[in-house]
Amino acid sequence: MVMASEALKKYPFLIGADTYLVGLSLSNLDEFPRILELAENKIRFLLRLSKLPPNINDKKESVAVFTASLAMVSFTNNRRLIRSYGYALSRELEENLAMDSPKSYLTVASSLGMKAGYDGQRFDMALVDYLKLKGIDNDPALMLPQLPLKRGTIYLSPNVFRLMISRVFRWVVVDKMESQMAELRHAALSDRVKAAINSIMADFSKKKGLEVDVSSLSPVESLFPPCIKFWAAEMNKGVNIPHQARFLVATFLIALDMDVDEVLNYFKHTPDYDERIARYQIEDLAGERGSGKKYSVPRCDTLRTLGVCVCREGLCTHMSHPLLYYRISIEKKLKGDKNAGTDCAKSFP
Amino acid sequence: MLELPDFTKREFGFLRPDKKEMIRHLAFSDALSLKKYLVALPPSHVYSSTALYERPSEPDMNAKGWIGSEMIFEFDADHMKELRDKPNVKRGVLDNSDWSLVKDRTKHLIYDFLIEDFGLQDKEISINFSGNRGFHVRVRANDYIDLDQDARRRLASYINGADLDVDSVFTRLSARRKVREITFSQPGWMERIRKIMDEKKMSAEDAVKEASLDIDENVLLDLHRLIRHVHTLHAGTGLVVTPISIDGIDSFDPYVHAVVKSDEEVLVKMEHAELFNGLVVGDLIISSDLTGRILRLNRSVAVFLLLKGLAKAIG
Ligand code: SF4
Repeated sequence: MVMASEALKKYPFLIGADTYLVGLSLSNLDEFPRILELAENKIRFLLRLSKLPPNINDKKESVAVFTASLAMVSFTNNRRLIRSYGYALSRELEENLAMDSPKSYLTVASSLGMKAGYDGQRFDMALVDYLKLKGIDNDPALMLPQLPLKRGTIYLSPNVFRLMISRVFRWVVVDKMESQMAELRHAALSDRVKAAINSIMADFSKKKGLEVDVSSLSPVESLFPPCIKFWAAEMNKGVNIPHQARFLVATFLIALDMDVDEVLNYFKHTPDYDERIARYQIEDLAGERGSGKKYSVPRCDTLRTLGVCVCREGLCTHMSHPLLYYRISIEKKLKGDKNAGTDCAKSFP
Repeated sequence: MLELPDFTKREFGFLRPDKKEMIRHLAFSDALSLKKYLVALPPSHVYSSTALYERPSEPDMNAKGWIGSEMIFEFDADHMKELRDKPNVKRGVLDNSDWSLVKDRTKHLIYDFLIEDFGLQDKEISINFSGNRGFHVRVRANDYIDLDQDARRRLASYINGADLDVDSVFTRLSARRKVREITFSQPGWMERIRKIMDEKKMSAEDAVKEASLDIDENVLLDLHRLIRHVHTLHAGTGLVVTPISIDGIDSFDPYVHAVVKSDEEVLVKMEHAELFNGLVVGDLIISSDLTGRILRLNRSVAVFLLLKGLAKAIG
């Protein structure tokens, strides 16, 4: 299949792209020095480790660079790096799509297995096809209640459809990288390729180390958001708190990388506490059981709707996510702000 | 009578009167063999799976070969916040206004969400009277049958309005005065909210509360659920789990239409009749003055009253 050069250069994952991948693999990447160099540049550029964009000539090169970059990132075996790269790739895709006509979105979408139609103004998609999409659950704009829906068809503006494509794409590439991880771990790499990967990893960690990574710090309870403090205190008093509040506290603590026993401590005084059941539930929320799905901490707007949010002052006036509250409070504290983490503290001492 | 589509692909479960544990992982080649089994070993409760399997009698769930699961929505008075604390509901007997509310919720789900929004056809939706305090709505649609839990979760949060960002419906005209106006109209939730706000002069938040349905997500997400099989008896009431057509729900009276016809009569002494003045059960109209009276009643009516503490057996 011969692809339009421009399209494939911009979207190197389109159906048929793999025709251009003759004989390239991570183990023999050093035989293609230009591809190796461009792949390294692409990863660095997209992860904002360098300001120089890779200078890719044509569609063949673009497909090879894209594939090599995924393999290199998978080889790091570092899930954070994989997720960040997936995020960066999806941002790049969204920017490219924004410069294209909406008509071209359909080709990209169908390469990702998304079925949709376009009437020149808006896109439509069967509800069941929407329900089967992966990777779209964290964007309010893509959640079903926000979308026009009639008789089993959802309607999407070009902007929303573009966002949807980029989220599905992120899921697809992250999934691809994660599933390649085990398989590539034992690949025999040349020193040149290894060095390239290691230097990306080192720079990535250094960059991330400069930012506050909440999950890598020991938890600081005094900086927890008001909702977590409030519901944890209620449980400590032996109050039987609503299910959604328990879900919030548990997912929040899990997101801080606390282990199950530490999380259980918060639930010990609830009236119906049964360690076996609680342990099972926490492990389930942490994705250590069954489906392996790790549940995310609900966003503030959801918590407000559910009546679980307890504060509308200070940082919480416009807060979007409890983890963001925590992260900002840590940053404030590090800068010496004495009021960090004290919003609404007077309402429930 | 005991027929159900895809009968051979379903797992059956039984609870015997004397045992606490369920006997499950059984399969039958047709309704007749199920009937024979029930006649030979009458259980108190008969369940069948909402899931279809390649090998329904395989005891290991992972080896059953899951094909798909119907979607189930339960509307039970004891889970509805308006009803669950009413003394009569706690006793397990609903009055006419309670039934109206349960029916309204069921119809709201079917007409507004399942048909209007999700585009399901009437023939893909069925309703069962649960045999006790509510209805089960079952969706058996080819496109939906193999949806995984993530997909079902999206439907659940659509129906209960949990992910709804009310503010996205409005432009804030004046942040200080909090005046809000809907700027556009689009089918689905947004149109629903706008309509209720216009008609009932409500705030958007109240409109969401009014139009959302508090469905039990666990039921919808359970891909291996066993539910009471149609046309079997509910052992807590003696009433029959009865299929109802969508447009037949309004005229369905559980205490009349789900009572087994029986020629046998038994003697009972009525109690607490004053609590249910006017309630019709089978061919009996309960009135306050019946308390303490000894009546000869149709066996099924008597069983219901005995199980609900409204009568005592005599002899
Ligand atoms: S605004 Fe968010 S972080 Fe603050 S209390 Fe409410 S839910 Fe918690």
